[in-house]
Amino acid sequence: MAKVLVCDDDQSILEVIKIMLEESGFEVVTINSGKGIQKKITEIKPNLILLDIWMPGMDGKEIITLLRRDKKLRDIPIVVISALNDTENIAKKSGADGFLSKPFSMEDLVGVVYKYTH
Amino acid sequence: MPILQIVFSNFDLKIFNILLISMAVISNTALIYLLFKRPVKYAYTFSFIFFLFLINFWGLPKIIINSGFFNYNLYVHLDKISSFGYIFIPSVFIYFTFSFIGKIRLLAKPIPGMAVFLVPFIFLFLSWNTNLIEKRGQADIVNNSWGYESPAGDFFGIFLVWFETLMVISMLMLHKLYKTSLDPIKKRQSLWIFVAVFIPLLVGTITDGVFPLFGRHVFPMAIPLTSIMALIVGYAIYKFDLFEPSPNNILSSIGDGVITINTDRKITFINRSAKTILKIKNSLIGSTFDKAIYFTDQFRNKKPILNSPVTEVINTIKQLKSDQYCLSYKNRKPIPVSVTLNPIKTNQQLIGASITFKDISYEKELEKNKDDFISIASHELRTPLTSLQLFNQLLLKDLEKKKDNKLQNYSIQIQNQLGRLTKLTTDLLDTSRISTNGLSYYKKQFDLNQLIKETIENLQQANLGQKIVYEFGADSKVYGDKERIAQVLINLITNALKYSHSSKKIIVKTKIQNNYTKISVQDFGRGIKKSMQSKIFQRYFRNIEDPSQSGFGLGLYISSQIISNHQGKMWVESKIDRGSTFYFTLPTA
Repeated sequence: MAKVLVCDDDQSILEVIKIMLEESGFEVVTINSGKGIQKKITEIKPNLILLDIWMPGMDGKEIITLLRRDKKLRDIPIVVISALNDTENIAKKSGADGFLSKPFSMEDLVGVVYKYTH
Repeated sequence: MPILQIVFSNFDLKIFNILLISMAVISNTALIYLLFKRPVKYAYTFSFIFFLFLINFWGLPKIIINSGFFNYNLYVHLDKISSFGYIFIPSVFIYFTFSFIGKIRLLAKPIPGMAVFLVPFIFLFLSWNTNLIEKRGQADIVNNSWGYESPAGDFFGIFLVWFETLMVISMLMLHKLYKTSLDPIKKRQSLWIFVAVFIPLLVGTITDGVFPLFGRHVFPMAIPLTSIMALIVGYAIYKFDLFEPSPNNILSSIGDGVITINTDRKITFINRSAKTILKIKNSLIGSTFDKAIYFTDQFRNKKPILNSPVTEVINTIKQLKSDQYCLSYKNRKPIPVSVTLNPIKTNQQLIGASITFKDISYEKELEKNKDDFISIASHELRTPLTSLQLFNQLLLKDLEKKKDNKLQNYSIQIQNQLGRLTKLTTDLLDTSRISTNGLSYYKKQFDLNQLIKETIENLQQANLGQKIVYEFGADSKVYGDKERIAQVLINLITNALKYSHSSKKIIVKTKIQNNYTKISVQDFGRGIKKSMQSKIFQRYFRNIEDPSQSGFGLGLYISSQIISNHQGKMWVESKIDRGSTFYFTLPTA
């Protein structure tokens, strides 16, 4: 079973993503801040990271740079979530693999996760 | 013996002289009247009036002197009055010149000022007390056929030097102004005055000055020729507003910044407000626009923009208005301005351009605050929208399983309304990002026909009542942001669907022309009024006559901005009740 780490500062989003992905047969771990994300990733070794690019405290872009520098973690695909409607550009610029623009539908979400875990 | 005396008798010449002087006095008086009638009079208008007045003072007594009516005492008094006239002419004229060229401060200094106006009094005193009339006696006066000059008595030579020096200084100054002034109006004015005054000055100096100085008498032409001067000046007043100050003087004091340039883009004028707005301390006249002062884009980049609007105005000879530029002086912080550029023409010929501007920093600041607010608000709204939408989706799935049609219908309603809400926040977000230049594009080559086909298929599913058909030209690979172009297509097609309920067809066409592709979306709906057609692409445009219209009025604005970012154009052709066709172009890859 593919493991997905979801990082977003909005509790409601985390909850609904967890429900949807679990319904679709993924194992989901959620964290609500960028702090300690590196440690958490090393710990659970997810197959995919869903990351909100705009969180208070720690910038999503910094997290991506950080993870890309880590030899053990650099191969884990990252999908950025953003409420800006040119998320695709942001994803490309920051070095993420995929993107999801808020608001997205269940199909979008599952589609993206499926794409990067198979 | 002068030639004239052979042809005419003394009597004829005296009559002739009276006639000519009378003409001069009349025309000078007419000119005085004309100048007094000017709506606004300036220091130099008054000094020119005084100058004309002195010429008449000089001329009028001569009419009586030459009339044949001879009374020795009267003659002496008239001669004194006459000398009062011409003695003060150079002083008044140099005063006129200095104030006309805007250097009156030089004469306001005590030494030159006193000199110019006190020296004539010495001449007047000498003239009145060492009058040649008394020395030469009656016989001499009678013998002199065309009247008798008594120029400052024995000191006439010195007076002549004084007279000519001041006049020559004045003429040189007018000439210099003509040569160096970059203001075409001032240039022309100085030339006309120069020519007008030069004629009587040159001839008069010879006939009324040099000849009498050497004891010879010829027909005095100085006063008669002032009528020609008056005619020239009068003509120039009617034709060129000669005595109106160059508009620059007026422009100096208005609140908007004004800069004028010639066709070489050299700055010919810059007013006080322009200097205040741009914090300029030195003159800048003669330096090149786009070098010292230049336009930058609205995002306050310090680099000058590539296609200077100045060049555009000079090339197209058309007015240009914008509040999307900043003006910058020497790498200083660019000031956002609302600017109007106008070509300046005289006699159908382009002589330069004017740049009028207002500082709109405050307005831009407000606009930025508003944009920031919209950006943050719409951004913040999207996160709860997302979870709402997702939870509703979960709900809907559950209700489908339970086959609860009623609640399922409610959930679908929620979904639709969430969709609308999403569209509104997207439009707001796009708009705020367009105005802060934050909208980024990811451009690459793509198949336009394919994109149109996909877009139409998606929209067709949701709108089964109306048929969307397409007619494609040749395969079209265009270069651009595929998502954004899809956004434009969706906007145009949904508008077409929305405004043509009664008709059943929407036609989307592509056509390759030269190096761009033209896309058209045609409906057969109600059409758009001519007066509205130019407005529909404006931000927040809403047709107040159409209360059914929903949304923020941003769709077409965003679409046209996206297309213009792609170096394309967007326009509409429409007829009431026949339908509208929206066109846009994209560069072919």
